[in-house]
Amino acid sequence: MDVDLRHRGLAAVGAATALALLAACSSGNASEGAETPDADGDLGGTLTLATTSERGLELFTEDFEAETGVAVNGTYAEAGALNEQLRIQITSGTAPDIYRSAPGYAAPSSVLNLANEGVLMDLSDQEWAQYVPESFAPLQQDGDAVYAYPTFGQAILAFYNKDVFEEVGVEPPTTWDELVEVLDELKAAGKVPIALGLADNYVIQFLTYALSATLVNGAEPDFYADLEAGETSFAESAGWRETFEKLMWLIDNGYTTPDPLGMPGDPAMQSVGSGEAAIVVMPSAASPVLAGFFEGGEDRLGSFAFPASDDPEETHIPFSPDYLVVNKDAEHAAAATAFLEYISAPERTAAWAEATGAIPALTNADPVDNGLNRSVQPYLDSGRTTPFANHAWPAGTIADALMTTGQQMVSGSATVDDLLEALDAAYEAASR
Amino acid sequence: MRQVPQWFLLPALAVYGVVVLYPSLAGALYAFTDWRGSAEASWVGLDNFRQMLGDQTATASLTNTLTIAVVLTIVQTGLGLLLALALNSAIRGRNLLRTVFFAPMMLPPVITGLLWQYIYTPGGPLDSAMSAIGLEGLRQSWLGNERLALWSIIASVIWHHVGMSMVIFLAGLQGIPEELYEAAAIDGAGTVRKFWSVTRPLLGQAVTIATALTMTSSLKLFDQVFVMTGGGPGVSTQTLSLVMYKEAFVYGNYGYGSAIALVLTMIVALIVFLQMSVTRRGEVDA
Repeated sequence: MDVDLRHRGLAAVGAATALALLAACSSGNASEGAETPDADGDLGGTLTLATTSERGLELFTEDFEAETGVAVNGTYAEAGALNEQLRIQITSGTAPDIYRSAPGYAAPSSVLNLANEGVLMDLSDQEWAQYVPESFAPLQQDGDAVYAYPTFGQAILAFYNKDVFEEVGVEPPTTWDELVEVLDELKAAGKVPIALGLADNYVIQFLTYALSATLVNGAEPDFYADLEAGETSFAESAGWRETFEKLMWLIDNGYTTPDPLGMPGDPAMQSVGSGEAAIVVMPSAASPVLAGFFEGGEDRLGSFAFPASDDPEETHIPFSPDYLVVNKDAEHAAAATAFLEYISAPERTAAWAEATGAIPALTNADPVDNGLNRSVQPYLDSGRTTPFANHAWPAGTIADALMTTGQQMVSGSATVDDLLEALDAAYEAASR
Repeated sequence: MRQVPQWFLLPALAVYGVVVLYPSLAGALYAFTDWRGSAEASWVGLDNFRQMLGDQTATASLTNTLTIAVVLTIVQTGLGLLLALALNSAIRGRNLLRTVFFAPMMLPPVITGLLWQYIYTPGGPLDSAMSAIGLEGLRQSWLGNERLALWSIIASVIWHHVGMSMVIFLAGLQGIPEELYEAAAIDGAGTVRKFWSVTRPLLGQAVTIATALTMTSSLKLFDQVFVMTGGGPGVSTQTLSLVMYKEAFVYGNYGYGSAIALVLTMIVALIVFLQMSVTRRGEVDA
């Protein structure tokens, strides 16, 4: 029994074991060299693919297989689990031919981190590359090299319950002052104006990025270039300060869910569906989940750009893509690029976006006529979109500082200044 | 008795060496590097450990982990003993009650985490129950308050695991010969005296097992915290396991994550060694 208990006592070594197993796997080699597409287009073989969901993909897989003779072998996992799995596969040289990747540097398996490691194929010679929106360049390009295919775009918007708005008699606001008036009326009618589930710490990013798109990217367009050059900081940015002050003002004045730190994200969304709350600010990719909470169906779900200033023309919206990337050592590189070419057709790009409740990411895509796209299109047309703030940061640890110190700010144990300093410290550490 | 040749152990030792010893030692070595998963790792000496000392999240997680371990070990073991004493007596329905108290142990930790997250939701079942019994004033943001969140998680873990401590003590109590209690009664011992002079010393082994298991599982606590708060609000419920997971598997800082894993392993080994040294002194054979 003694020995057994001691082994149990050392069971935490399993963590180190897992890490070491990763190390042990790292010496493996991927298949050498990438194929070039056959001239006759008859490719054959099996294309391995890993992404978060079959939704969208299933529209094209069968036709692509019939057209090219390529069998598509897809595996699907939730984004966090997929990132961890891919990180291990990339390290051990067993990554699939095509896989999903996050924009910029947000995670270890994000596009630009992988590009720096030299494990992604440069796709700049692909036909569709000319239709990648300019605003995505900082998230997927290094010089002239294009490392990712944007499957669809998602925007952070204010989603609202139309029935509640009609019941209270308010319209979607276009300026900060109008927003405050709407929130006051909703509050007076006994509704929770903005559902906020900060118990899931990532949720604090949504309202923050919705505000900073206008107050930082819109009002201080050179901020990130200056930050990278070491010429400014979060603490010196009037836009970032105003972002957090407005966030706290909304919370402190009772315009959000009471005790937001005790409310998880899903129940907060449910409260909008049930009509207890009116608005929730979140990425559009989650809007199909939100729509599922509406008894009246998705037609009762509306959306608008979250205003942060008093000039509607200043409003910017966070808009970032979801990516597929091609393994530089893909066993079937020709099939991989053929697949991207196939799905990049304007009608397929639109169909994928429509099926996933998203926004087409390529500029030549057929228009999608639904409420979500009608909310976003004017901002795309006028160039008033910016990447999600964390996608422009050099590491995921900066968003972690926002989530951790942001929760402390909401609970009262940290100030706006503390949060700005925490962001600066994390940025500096990530930039070393 | 016929001796079995020692080389019979070799296959098992070889497997153990490959799947446990080598990865563990390699993992420990990575704690002294800046390995980030792909590029070659560079030796950084004690830098990762110095970084831990200046890392608000890591230091808070160490404090939280030790708090969880101490509180859980004392409270869960104590409650388990009380339950075992009660259910070892001749009360009606004791078999049913044993099953009821042990049943939560059958649930996966992630499920209990989700269950308690729901129970603690503002205006949720716990708040409603408190209002129903006239304790409206005590309604709280159980997981949203930095001062309460850790204790709320500890309470849910006790609910989940107390059945295990109870079963260990029940087994210990049932191993105590009835004659000893009869002899004590003849000597005039009352209930308290019987517990102190007969039950307590003869439960020594059960105490050793129950406290060791509780201590090790609580030092490694991950699932419930991950599900219920993710370490928040702020850093108020961060644990070493959670920080290790995030650094290694979310942010790709495998070197730093290995350093945290190494520290956690050392802490678990040291504490369990000390705890067993103390509790085994009190063991007495029946």
